[in-house]
Amino acid sequence: MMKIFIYKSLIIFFLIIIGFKLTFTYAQKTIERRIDHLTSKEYIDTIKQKLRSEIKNATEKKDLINNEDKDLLNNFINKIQKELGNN
Amino acid sequence: MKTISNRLLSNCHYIFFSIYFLIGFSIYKDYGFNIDETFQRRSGLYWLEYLSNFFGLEKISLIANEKLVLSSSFTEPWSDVYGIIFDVPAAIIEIIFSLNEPIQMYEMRHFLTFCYFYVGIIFFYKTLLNRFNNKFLSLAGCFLLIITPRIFGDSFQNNKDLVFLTFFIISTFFIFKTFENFNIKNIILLAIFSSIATSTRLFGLIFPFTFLFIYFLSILSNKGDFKIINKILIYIFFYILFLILHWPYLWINPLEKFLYLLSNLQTFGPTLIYFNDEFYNTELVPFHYLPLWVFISTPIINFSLFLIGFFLLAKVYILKLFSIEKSKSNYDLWNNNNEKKDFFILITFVILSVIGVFFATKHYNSWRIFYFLNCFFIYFSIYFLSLFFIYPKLKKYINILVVVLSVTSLFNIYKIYIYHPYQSLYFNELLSNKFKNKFEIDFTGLSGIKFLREVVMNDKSNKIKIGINSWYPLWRMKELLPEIDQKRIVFVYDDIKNADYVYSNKIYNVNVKLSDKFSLDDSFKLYKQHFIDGILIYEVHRKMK
Repeated sequence: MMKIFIYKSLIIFFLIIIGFKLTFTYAQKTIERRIDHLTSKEYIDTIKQKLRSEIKNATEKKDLINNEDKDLLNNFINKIQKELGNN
Repeated sequence: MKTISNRLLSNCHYIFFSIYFLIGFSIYKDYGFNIDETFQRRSGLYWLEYLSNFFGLEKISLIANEKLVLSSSFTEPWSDVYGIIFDVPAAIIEIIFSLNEPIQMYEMRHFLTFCYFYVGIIFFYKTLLNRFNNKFLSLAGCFLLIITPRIFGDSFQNNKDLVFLTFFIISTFFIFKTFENFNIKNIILLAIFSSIATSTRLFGLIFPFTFLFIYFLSILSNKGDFKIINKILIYIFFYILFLILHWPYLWINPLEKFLYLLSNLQTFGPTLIYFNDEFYNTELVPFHYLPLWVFISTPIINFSLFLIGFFLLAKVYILKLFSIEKSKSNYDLWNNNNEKKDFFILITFVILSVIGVFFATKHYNSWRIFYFLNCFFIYFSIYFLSLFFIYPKLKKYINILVVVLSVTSLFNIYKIYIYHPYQSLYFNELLSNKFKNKFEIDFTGLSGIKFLREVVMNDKSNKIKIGINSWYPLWRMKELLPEIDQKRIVFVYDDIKNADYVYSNKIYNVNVKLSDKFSLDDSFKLYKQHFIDGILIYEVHRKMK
């Protein structure tokens, strides 16, 4: 009986390790890979480059904000100023 | 006539090994130089100096020291943890034969690597013969292992993984001998070779581990086996003793240093790899890294035979496991020594595969660290083939089997021929050319010397400026050229724009999909791309005048 118990324990132990690796460690590795990618020098440089090019594009445009958005922002700021002024 | 053919048959293994040696001897100079070789040579000289100081051999110590000083390079990493079983004999040969030209030193190392592997193949033959008791099958196994292209190519320049494969095979042979005859001689020989395997690669630890595990299972089935515990203790004692004796790294604070090595495995090797069209941190590769590499770079015939053999053998032991209660044998999992050997192979393979897939701290350079698994693939293949000699129903198919094996082996030989001398970069026929190029290819820089030789031959200028557009120390190969050509070559390191030629083996230390570190400007034009079997080995750009 003891013998069968040991064999069963060994098999279950082995299966638990494989199961753990295929679920928890797999998920952990996927997240770590993502973080590693997002914090890599190359990725940060790409983002910096992207920002630079976006800023450059924006400065080359005649108007940064379109008329509809201008009205919307104006109204919003006026509203806030009014409410703050009331206090 | 019959006597001649009988004689030929009885001596076929001598013919086989003679032909193999002649082939190896005639081609060992063709191979490129592995970037690890300069490091391994230094390691050999370092330990030779240490040992000769220890034993008071002043003259050797002086020569080794002189060579060591000359061999230092600013780009070379350094570590004293490596075993000495290949590097120190290589350093001794270098000194005895006064090999002072770098090309001679490295060619000698290539020949020595081949000699080690050759001995490994002889032991592989003995191992298979010990288990299957069939000369034809044992030779077929050796043949299949030799014509595995990556093994064939590495057996001429990989003085780490192929040396480990050799000692792995020899240790397996002595574990089989120990199973048959548990005497002191076999136990001590097993201890010697398994300790050498361990100092070459830590995977050698599997031998004491599985040896003890199998002994534990023996006791579980048959309590009478407990009386041989003294022999098990002798094995452990001699294993530790030989491990320390032949590995000078462990001579001071052995336990502390061994544990340090075990806990710092991730410090070795590169930090980034290109795998399946993605760049990965080498510590974060997906679980399918090893299985995929095995699948794409093992010949189809080896892989198919291995799969069938493995499943058949695994089935035998799974069925035994489920019927332990009904078992009338002395042992639960084996009835005789052959079954015990099969069980050892199966359990060792499963443990190593699980370690390789789930527990490896790092993966890099394709799967060369796991090339020793090839001896398991062949063992399982031969197990499957042996069934054709055992079961009467299958016996009638032997002729068909021989034809199929011959044709597929011829195909492997053809691949070895077309890849020559880059068999180490082989991919099997299941892949498209596009897919093959989604992996690291010339990671050991075998092509570097070919490029340099070509450029000095084709360009007659007095000064040839060479840039490197990949993560590869090409300048280490310069010393292998004739002196007159060495003077003509100038490496431009940071100022790549001024190079006449720019070489790249497409191995990078940054994600080139995001970085422009390795991009060239328009003043360079593609000059040459070297393809083999659809694989881009290296490319050269030339500056437009």
